[in-house]
Amino acid sequence: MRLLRILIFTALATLCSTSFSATGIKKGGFDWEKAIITVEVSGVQYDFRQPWSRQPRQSMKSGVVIRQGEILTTAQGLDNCIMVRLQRLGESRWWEARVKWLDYYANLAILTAVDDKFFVGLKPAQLSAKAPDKENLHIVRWKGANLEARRVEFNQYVVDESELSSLNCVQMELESVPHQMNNPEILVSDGKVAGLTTSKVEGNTRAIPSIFARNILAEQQKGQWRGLGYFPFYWQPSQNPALHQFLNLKGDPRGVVVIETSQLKDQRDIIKPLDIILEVDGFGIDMMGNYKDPDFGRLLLENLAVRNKFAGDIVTFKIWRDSKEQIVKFKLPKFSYSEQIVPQQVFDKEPEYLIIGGLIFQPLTEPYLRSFGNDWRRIAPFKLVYLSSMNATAEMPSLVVLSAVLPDYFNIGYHDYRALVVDTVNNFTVRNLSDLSKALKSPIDGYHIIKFQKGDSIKSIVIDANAEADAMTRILKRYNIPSASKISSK
Amino acid sequence: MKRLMFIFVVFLVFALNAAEPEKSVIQIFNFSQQPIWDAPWRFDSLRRSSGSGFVIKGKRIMSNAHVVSWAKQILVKRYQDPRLYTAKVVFVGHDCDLALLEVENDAFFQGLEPLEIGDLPKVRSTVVTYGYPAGGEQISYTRGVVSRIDLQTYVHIGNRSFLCVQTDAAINPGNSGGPVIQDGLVVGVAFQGMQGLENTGFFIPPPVIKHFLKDVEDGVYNGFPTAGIRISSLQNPAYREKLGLKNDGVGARVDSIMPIESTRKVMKEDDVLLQVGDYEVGSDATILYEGNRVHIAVAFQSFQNGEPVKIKILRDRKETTVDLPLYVYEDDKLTGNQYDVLPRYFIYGGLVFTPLSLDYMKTFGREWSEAVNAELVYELLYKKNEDPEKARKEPIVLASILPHTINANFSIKGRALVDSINGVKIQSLEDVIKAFGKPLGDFQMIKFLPHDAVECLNVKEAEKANDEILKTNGIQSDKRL
Repeated sequence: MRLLRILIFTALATLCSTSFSATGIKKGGFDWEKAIITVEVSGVQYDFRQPWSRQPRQSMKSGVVIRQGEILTTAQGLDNCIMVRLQRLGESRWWEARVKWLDYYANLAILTAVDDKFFVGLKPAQLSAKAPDKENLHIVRWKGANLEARRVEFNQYVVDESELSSLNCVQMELESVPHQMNNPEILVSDGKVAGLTTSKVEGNTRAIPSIFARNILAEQQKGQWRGLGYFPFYWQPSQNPALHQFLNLKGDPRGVVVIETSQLKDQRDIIKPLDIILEVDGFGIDMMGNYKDPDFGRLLLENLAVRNKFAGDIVTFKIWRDSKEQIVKFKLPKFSYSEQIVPQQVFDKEPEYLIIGGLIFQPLTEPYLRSFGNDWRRIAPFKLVYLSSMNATAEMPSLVVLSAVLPDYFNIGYHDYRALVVDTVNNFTVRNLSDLSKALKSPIDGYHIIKFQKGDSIKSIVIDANAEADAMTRILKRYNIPSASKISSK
Repeated sequence: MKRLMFIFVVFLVFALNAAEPEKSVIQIFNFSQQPIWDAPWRFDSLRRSSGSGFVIKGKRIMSNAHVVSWAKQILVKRYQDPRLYTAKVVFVGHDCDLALLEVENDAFFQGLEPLEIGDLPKVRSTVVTYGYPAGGEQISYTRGVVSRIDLQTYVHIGNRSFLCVQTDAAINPGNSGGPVIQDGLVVGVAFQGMQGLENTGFFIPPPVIKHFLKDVEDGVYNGFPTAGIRISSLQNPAYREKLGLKNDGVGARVDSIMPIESTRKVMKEDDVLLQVGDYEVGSDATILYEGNRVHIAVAFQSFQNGEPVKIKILRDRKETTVDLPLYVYEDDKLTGNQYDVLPRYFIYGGLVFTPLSLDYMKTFGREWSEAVNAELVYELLYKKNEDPEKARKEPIVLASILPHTINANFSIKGRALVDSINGVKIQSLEDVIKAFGKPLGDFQMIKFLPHDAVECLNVKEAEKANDEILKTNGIQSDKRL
């Protein structure tokens, strides 16, 4: 009976595959067996609730040879990695590899094998320079020793936040993808790489189009990778004719209206609130903020900040201001996680923390908030979630929270305090753990006085600075914590 | 002789009530209609609900505020009497969930003895609830034990906590407002349960009932005053030592002060409360109240609006006594459930403006906090605490848009916080009306938060459309202030 069930299951699995080959697969005349690579990543995963704690993590990805000695994959999963291994040609042998280049914002990485022999017999695939044939898209991947090709349905191109950051860029949206996928899987069309899958969003699969990757890789190959830029202002659609009339726009209704510009910093005079953006780099902007992309059709204007443009590049805006058209040149700032008070990601470094008298202090980061669970936006304290949508300012570039208390007689009365945003310690403003560490060197009359931002449940607490060291020795031992602090040198 | 008679009278009343208190227990029917907070000129469908009450002295019926809220018609029925009488609310305390009713026909009270209010029952003592809960037409009695006496949130208003008694006597819908009796005296008014807890009901105890009755003696209900301070426990030895206290379990700390002028004049942060009125304050911010450790708030709640309380404090390591006047705090009323006052609104060009309130937020559904944008939650629930100087007195939202060609192309579709109109920062509904009176040339410009989103209306077109929009939507007035 068990055998029968296995047989039925196998038969179904085979039916679901549109193409299955034990010897190799040729799509569009290219032998994908020689280019698709299986990638195994081993790394460490940190528990932001107990930032000193870590556990091993392993994940599988696909990559594709794109140049001699270079394998393209996504950056996701490569953070905090300690070992990367590769498999080729459906063989069982693992080859040691290393990350040659990586950009988390673009979500792209290039791997290479430590031993050059790995590339013998492999053939680089080309990244498509144009939008792929929507009717002829396949995911090609290794399933054990066999290469599998599955046809996938193309839905649309969307401009949305990339998988690892809130940077907006063009993405492919796909249907009918295999249920179980290791991101990325390689999308192919007409014998070329069409894209790399990244995630599932509301039942559909997202992928980075190869044109986007191709432009970035071309820039990276020049040896001076500048990072991706972005438009640091908010705009709104302008379908309301009264708004056009109010702004005295002549001619056909068009363009979008700039609203908040608080992030512009030194370029605040270049783009102003109530400017109407009419064109960006020669592309006309419609009332919903779309332009007609030569490759992908109608896309949101945010994509023009990354469409073959990089941080530091100049973007030309045609705007309507003071009842006339004006041309302004805007220098793209580099996108960075530190643009927000609560950084969206913390990659490639151990979580920072500082414990004093059993009070655990951590930088307020999104990984910390995500430690509240998948539903963290609902479960985590509202104020912290609210802060996560705010941009960093000179006064508040980042924040520190009292994340929890390790109970001990020394900190009695404070055991239930958690998720409190620190304002000052010993009268010194605290915005990061270095500030905190410095402030703790100046106790006031033998006490550390910790004040939290207004509105939190408690405003201040006091601990005995003289007895703290003894208490810490006891607390670290009791809770098996290897070190009282981990503070980044940056 | 006089003394003996007094005792006799008490005995007589006691004997009467002890024998048949059910005769004084009233069934109350409320036909109510609530407004729709995001379409504030409209009303929800008519609801019929029933609860309980009991006769007190002065020919009045005491019940819960929630039994008689939003009433269009109240009918009352006596024990085993088929007749219905009309009644009206004379006093209602939505904070403490109590109400007093009067019956238009005096004959209603014939033969009914008022029930006397007793004292706070002891924990572990037995009480009996009387009322007309769901599941039948006749009066119901349930016996239980007083399980706990504590400070609890009164869910009717939602943002106030008072002394409360927990019992294992069944308290079900319909019981609300009914008396809880011990030795022939009312020791509570049944009022709420708690989801997830079995065999648990809560009743309002005599100190709260008596406070309410004393409050209305002057013909006006003011409510329970607040100290205007946030008090935290002071159990950490280091903090105690820093403030000059022994580790003796006495004294709680003033952590912060609410934006109440009279409190700010008297109290300071890090003052240590040693005694409030007659009660010594414990380091866990509690007092010993009739044998029960309860939150210190109870000590303040025994005072009436405007009365000062004597507080012994330790400030800068010196003991001193201050008189803190206590006032009812109403600046947070938008963060609690509101009753019996119809929502304010103003409609211009089809744009419906109304104050941001918890009631408005709840129109987004049970999971409203997820459906609403974070800016609204922050403005309503956090801003006043964090930044009282910058917080708006009455934040205004664009609740919805009544469709018309003049607003059909708005990007903003409603549920947005109004920041300014024609450059005037909006702090109240009156500001909205004033600001629309000063357009920027031919246009009204409205800015919303977050991100300063902006929309415009052509003044002539909007004013021409106003009447038509109201007529189309069956709205009698463009405003309720």
